[in-house]
Amino acid sequence: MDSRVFRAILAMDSYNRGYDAGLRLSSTNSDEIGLQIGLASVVARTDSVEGSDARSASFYAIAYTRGSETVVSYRGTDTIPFIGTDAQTGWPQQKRGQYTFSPPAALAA
Amino acid sequence: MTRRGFLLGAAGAALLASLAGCVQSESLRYRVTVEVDTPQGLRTGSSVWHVDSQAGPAFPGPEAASISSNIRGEAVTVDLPGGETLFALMRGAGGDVDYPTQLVQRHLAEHPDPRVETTPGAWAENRRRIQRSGIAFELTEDEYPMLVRFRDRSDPTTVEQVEPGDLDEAFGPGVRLRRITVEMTQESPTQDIIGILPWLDEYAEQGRRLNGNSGIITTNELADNLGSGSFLRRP
Repeated sequence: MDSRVFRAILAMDSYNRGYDAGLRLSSTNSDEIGLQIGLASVVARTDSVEGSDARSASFYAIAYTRGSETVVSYRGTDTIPFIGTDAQTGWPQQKRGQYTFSPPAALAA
Repeated sequence: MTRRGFLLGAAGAALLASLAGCVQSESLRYRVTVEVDTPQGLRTGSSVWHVDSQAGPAFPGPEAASISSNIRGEAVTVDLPGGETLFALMRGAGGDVDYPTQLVQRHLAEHPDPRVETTPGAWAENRRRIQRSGIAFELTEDEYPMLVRFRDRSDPTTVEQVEPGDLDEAFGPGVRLRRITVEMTQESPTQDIIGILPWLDEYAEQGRRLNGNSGIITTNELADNLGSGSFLRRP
């Protein structure tokens, strides 16, 4: 499979794992470390437990390795524009230059 | 304010009002009861779980539609002989953190109940019908929540998962899980588990998991994947 297509699949995959998954892939929507998705395997993810910083910010990220490559896939911005969690923790923070969360960097570390 | 500014503001307000009007919300409240046979007789524990769900508008496109949920309640605790306690967590045996949200409707999808008529896709209306029906049912083993115990309840890192069919291995001969039931209720969730696991508050405030870590998860160790939210969820 073309690597760009596979990365696109992994980009969508983050929407279907962890809490509030868009599709119920199985009874668990597993995101356990080591889970194989094609030739990629899960190596890290944010905390899905209620009360965790990531979930409180309506954020979820998952990282995969595929050969020597690390792919980080993340989601957010799924609340009502202007009045949902995004307004407090999402794009307005970026606009004001007040980054409160740096998920890709944190996952890649 | 210029005329153009006024028109833009009015259009924005109208858009927000229409988006807010598209939000669907519905709740479900049910009691989970765990029954365990022991050499000293039947031991039971139960807890009320309350699920509030909201479906946001599909804006700017259908890919943005989502249902998010807030859950209240606490893990079921069953006091067993010898001072032991069995905990039935607010997460699935496989680790599903949305377990309380999915439990009832998933069961009814697999085991339709003639007392409740459901319509595919009409999740909010289906929840109203389920709640009104007051139905009760027994979970099948593949629907069970995650069961755990602590070797030392004062030390969160000593958490261990317990297999439903192997309670005697964890708690001694003659201890056997009889069944787990679910019943719709109007009762309110409680927070009694704080008296059993007093460290929960501190872990919740600090966003720590049972091994003391917070942030990125890179292992499958149970204590690295369980947080206070598996035991107690508040508004």
